[in-house]
Amino acid sequence: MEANDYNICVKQLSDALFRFACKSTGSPDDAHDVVQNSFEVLWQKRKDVEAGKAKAFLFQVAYRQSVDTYRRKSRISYVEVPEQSYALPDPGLRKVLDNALAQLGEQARALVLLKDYEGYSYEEIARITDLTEAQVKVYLHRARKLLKDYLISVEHVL
Amino acid sequence: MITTGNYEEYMAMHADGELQPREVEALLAFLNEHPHLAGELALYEQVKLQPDYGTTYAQKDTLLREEPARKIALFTNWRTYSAAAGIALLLVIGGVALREQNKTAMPAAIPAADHDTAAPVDSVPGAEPSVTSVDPAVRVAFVKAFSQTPVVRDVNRKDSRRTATANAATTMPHLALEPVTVAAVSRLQTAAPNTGEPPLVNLDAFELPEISAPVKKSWLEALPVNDLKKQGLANVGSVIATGYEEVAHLKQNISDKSLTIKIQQRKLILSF
Repeated sequence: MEANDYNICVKQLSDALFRFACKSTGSPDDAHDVVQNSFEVLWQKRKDVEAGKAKAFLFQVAYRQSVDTYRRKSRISYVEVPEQSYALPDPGLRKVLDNALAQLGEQARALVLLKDYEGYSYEEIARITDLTEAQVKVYLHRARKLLKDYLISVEHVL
Repeated sequence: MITTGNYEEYMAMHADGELQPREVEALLAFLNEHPHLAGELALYEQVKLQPDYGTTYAQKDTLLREEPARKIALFTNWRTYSAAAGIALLLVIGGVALREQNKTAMPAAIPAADHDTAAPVDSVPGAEPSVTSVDPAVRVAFVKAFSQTPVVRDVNRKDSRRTATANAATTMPHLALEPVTVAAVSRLQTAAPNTGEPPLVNLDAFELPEISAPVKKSWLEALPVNDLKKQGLANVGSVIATGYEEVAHLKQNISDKSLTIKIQQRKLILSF
């Protein structure tokens, strides 16, 4: 990968990486650090990374850093993204889902984000997270069930 | 086979889009048999997160990079090159100095080789009668008797060579050819009749010329520069010699040693 390819990655992937890091760490400041560090690692290893695999490489680095950051700070509260940034017509559902996402562990949350935000397959997620495909399948199933149960419980309260 | 015990797993995989077409058909068939579970499938579809495209990373410009300019490292081992250049310079200076010294010591040697223009030794003003009139047998005996002196060697050479010697004698007195007089030759003939034995030579008041050993001069003193520059060159030479000794000493000290550098989890071992 040359400098030109790297700059293309910055322009095309930094937003998606920032969104992923925001949801994974729960903090825009931490997400900023994760994005900076991830691209720094990519720049340092650009000679070893093919341009076509740069996205998976970036998310792999960001996933590890997000999980490490979350575990290190042992966050309990979940920082909400500003209200005006929502684009879906149903902000209520999005907020409920964000809260439900915050209930997940850092690893399950990252798996859901990689699946829903980036559309990676189980196999690709397994490569990024260094898990087996079966583990990814089980963790995601548990996460979906937890999100579904949270959604049902909120609907009952409302 | 989808059952009431594992249908949620299939519903989650359906929400993730990971089911094969035949698995989707099996799930739909299961829901036809259990229509009260259709709402649960809708919930799984609902809990899929949608990315917020309004959230963007505002500091992209800080991430952009440019390929660093490649530095072409010339003369990376400039110390070696400079040392070699200094040594070469000293050798050249030394060679020039030696050449100048030789020119100063023997200025007439080359012109003396010209046989046609040089005057024969017999015509040197004030010289005794010619040695060429001496009997060859006597000359051989004379040569044997004085073979250790430069005078006799010059006598035994041919005329052309003697001419050069005569010219050189004017500039190098210690090599001057002593004239051999007829009277001395006559005494030699009388004292040593032709008996086959080497004649005994007895020359009165003949003293071998003393050959003074040439004074050895340093090449530095012979340089055509003033004393201050000579002192400077001597200092440079001393510094180079000292540096060379220090490097040799250092190289000897680091032999049979190893240096270990640990960088994170990796070790770099340098052995000398």
